[in-house]
Amino acid sequence: MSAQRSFVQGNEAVVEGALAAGARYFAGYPITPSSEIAEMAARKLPGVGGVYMQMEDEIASMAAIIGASLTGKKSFTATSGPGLSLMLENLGMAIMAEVPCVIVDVQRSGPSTGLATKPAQADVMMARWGSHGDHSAIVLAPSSVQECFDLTVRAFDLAEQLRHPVLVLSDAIVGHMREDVHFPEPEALDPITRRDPDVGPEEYVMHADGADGLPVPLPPFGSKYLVRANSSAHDPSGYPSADPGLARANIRRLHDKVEDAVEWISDYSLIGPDEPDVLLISYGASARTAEQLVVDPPTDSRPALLKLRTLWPFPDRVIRDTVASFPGVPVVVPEMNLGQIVREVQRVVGKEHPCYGYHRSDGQPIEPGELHRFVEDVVT
Amino acid sequence: MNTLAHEDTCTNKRREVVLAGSGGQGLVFLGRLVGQAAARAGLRVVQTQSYGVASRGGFSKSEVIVSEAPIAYPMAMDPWGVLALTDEARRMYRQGESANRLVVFDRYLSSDPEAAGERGFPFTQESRSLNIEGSFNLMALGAFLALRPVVPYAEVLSILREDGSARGEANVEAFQHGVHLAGDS
Repeated sequence: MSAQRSFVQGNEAVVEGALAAGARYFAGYPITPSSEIAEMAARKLPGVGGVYMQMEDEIASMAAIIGASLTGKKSFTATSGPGLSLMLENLGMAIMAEVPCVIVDVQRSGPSTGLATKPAQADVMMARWGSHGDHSAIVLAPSSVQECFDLTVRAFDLAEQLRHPVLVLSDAIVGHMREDVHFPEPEALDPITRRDPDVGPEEYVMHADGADGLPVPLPPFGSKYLVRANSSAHDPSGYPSADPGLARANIRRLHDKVEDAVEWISDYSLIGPDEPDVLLISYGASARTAEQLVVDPPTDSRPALLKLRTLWPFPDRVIRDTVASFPGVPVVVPEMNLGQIVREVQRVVGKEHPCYGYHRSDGQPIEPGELHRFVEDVVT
Repeated sequence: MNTLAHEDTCTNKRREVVLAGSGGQGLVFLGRLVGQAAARAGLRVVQTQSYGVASRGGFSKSEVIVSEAPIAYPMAMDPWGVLALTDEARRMYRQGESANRLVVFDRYLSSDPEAAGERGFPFTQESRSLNIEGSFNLMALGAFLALRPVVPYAEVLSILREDGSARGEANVEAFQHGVHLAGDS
């Protein structure tokens, strides 16, 4: 890895980011448009002492990265919508047992096999709600090759800090796009590493928070610490329990540890004029379309863009404050689905505020021209 | 060799080119090559690709956007140049063409006479006669970049020369021949 500008694909940048973050285990089942991640992981992991495991399906892939993470290795997998559907059960396992891991979903057009090589952004709600039961989610959405690298590094950090699975929600445009990017020197990065618990094995309780309010460190299987990775309801030590009070406390804690961290998890940027005539809120590949209108605005047009890099936990305050800073300015949410993030934005801004979705769900990107025509209608 | 290349690449304007045809023609490879050349020349660049589920056949394209400024929308909105390696691709981009657009096509693969905004070359026949048919796409790229110099083709050549294989040598020969074809026409 060098500090020079490289010309690489989004999927390759994900692998470079994972390696830079210290990932040393990948288990997966290649699927378009994510396959280059598996290919690159297979090529590069052995060279850094890591392991690539070709699995029989996505259910096993998710199980394998949870197992590897429990042995102390930073682990990841990559897939697309059909594969994420299969991973959801064990995603819940990782949430319940508080096992850090990273899942990359390079979204393609569905439902089912759909348009296998074409892009979409229709897994946003699956990423949030797909696994059963009450839980939270951490989901980051890159819109460039550079962000594929940067957000993958961050995904591993968040996974370790919160002991929670983190999804990188890419798409077929961003994953297959090549751009000139800057990979930092390894020493410029300071990825969060696993550390030993602050207490001895006798006092260690694996489902508890430390003095910093974050979950206590997770010691590896086989160490002197007892680790019970339990998918059933359990007490703080991981021992099974059907006690309603313990269940309530556990579910609440798992949920709140993410939702309470929304302020520092939230990553976003706001670009455009001080007094815009429309506020675009977007993410992933669609944010590039919106950005085009901002950097090269059509005549008599003054759009601003709030680009979300964190989708979940949903950045309510960021949305609320940004919208409030442009009184009366309508909001348009372009996304390659029939309306997912726009519902969250509408929930936050309230029924009184003009807020519209611009949606496309045919395996094609939203083009700047069509978005501009829609925005023109909204503004006038 | 055509010297137009270096003059026209010195611009901060957004330049869009599309390399379109059929799966298996190496269009993503060509796009990647142009993108690499742009990055080496210090330009900002985005390359995207679109193809179907078949590994051979079906409409396929690779788009390259080059600029001296950061690039927002990563796909072509009004391509300055199109290399069309099938009749379908040629028709697709001829329709609704802009005044500046040039569509370069292969006369063997698309036999309709040249129209305004189009340039046809015998890439297939020439590459066969030189016994480098497997590199016909590089010959087409050479001619295309001579006419639509989004990147200095010296950079493309230097990348091609780094591949020391027999295939690499054929690619270099094909690319240079393509540049001459366009220059001589």
